[in-house]
Amino acid sequence: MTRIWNNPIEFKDQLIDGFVAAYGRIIERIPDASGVRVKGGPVADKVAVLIGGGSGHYPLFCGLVGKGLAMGAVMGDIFASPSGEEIYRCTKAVDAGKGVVYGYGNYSGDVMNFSMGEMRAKMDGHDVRQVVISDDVASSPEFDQRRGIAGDFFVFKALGASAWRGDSLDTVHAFGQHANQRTRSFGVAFGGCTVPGRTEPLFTVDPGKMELGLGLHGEPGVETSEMLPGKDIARMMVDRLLADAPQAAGSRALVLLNGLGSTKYEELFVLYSDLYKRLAAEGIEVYKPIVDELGTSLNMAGCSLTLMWLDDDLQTLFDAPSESAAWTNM
Amino acid sequence: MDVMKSQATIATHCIEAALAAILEHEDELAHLDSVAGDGDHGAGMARGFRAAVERARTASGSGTAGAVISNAGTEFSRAAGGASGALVGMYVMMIGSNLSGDNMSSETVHHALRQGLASVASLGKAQLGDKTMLDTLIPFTRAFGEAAAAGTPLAQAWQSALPAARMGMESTKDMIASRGRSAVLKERSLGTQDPGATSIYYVLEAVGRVLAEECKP
Repeated sequence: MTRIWNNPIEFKDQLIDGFVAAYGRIIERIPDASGVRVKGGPVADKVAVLIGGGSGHYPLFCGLVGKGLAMGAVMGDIFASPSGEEIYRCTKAVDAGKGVVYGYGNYSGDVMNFSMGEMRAKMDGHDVRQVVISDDVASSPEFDQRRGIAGDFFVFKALGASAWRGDSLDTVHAFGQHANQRTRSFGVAFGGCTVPGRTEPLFTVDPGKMELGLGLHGEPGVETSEMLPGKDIARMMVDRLLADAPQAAGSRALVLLNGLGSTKYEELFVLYSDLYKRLAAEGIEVYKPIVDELGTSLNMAGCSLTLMWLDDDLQTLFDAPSESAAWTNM
Repeated sequence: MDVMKSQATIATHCIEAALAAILEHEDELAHLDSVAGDGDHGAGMARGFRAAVERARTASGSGTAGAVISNAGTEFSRAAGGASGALVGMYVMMIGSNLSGDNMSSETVHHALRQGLASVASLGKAQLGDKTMLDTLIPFTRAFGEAAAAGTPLAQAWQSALPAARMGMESTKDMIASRGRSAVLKERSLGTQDPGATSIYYVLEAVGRVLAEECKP
């Protein structure tokens, strides 16, 4: 469960306060809004990438604000989309006059609120585009109906790199869409998470079972399976992703094996020992694999596998330098 | 005229009663939401109504009932976040901004309720039977409209529409979600009453109690 809190009602504000105090060398609090931006305010002459969503998913979203990544993040309460008003305020606080691209996961609350924020920002003369991330293959057969999970990270990296090198609003937006089109994720869960102030987890998984197609908000999976050994989990994850590979995307891919909170690194490396063999056997040429926690669900047990099929543009954007609280590559 | 007390005061009492009702049922709403969602529905509604009450109290000194309610709705949205924050906030805000002047009769309230309903349907892109708050609001608004058309005063019209709202809420138990986050879970949502349909029923019920006590025909 979530053990450290003072008053559950103030959990989000206190986490923002602590985050800003810890990483004030990189980011700053946006005045009068629930969000953070790159230290020093709007980044001159660059399109601003504003990412966001509910809290409880660190390093999504505030941990990915910094040079080469997002210019700002708007932060909702635990597992709740930020409101349209907060999105509007953060849009104003990051726009340097070159326009703003929103990047967020495809959930009905986020879509409604980001669209309301966009509507208000446009009335004030801000040019806004949206990239709605939909990488979770388990959540729907229709690509644009799918949820956004750990694949957010690859899309944010592409958006941020494009914006920071000075690309136009249309170009940054197009690279974000392109990155999303080439990203697929599939996850499994072994146990639910407990939100601050509550004693019961949002769902439980029976001993000896696992949930397939988890949600990033402590939602149960879309189906239940017997618990499988690591090599069978690896096989299933790869099979599910390759069955849904983007068309004519080639064989080179970024790989993220992502822990959800309480499935820790050693277990993930054991799983990866089977994953890399399975990927090689399927002819996937893995570029710079990542085994880490880049999209979590509080203390949920489980993990997801994400592939982003690369082309030269996306590889260049991924390799571009970045510096944020949670992801730095030089 | 339907009311004797200051309408802005009654409107503020309605928002306060809504908060109290949500707090009373917060655990139940969290449980309903955890079956197919993320368990935060009660907390989000409480966060929204807490902020809305503050704003309503500030606005009630100078404004009309409509101003109190529309300010409360705007503040609800800002504070609550999430899909329910956007939808419930929009609903309350649209009701407030469609209540004109001092004429809070059952006819004018029906007009405002219809505008609120239309805005929620349009924002959420849901229909009757999709297992959402609309399954409570649509039958409520219809029944209220019938009572209003028959010349029933506000408080009685509201009371007479609550059974339809309750039946609508209970009907969501047998529905499969097709909108919102629980839609991903499909059949897993079967058998559990929709948290959004439930919380809005508690709000309607709480408002009904205030109107019954404070509106004198």
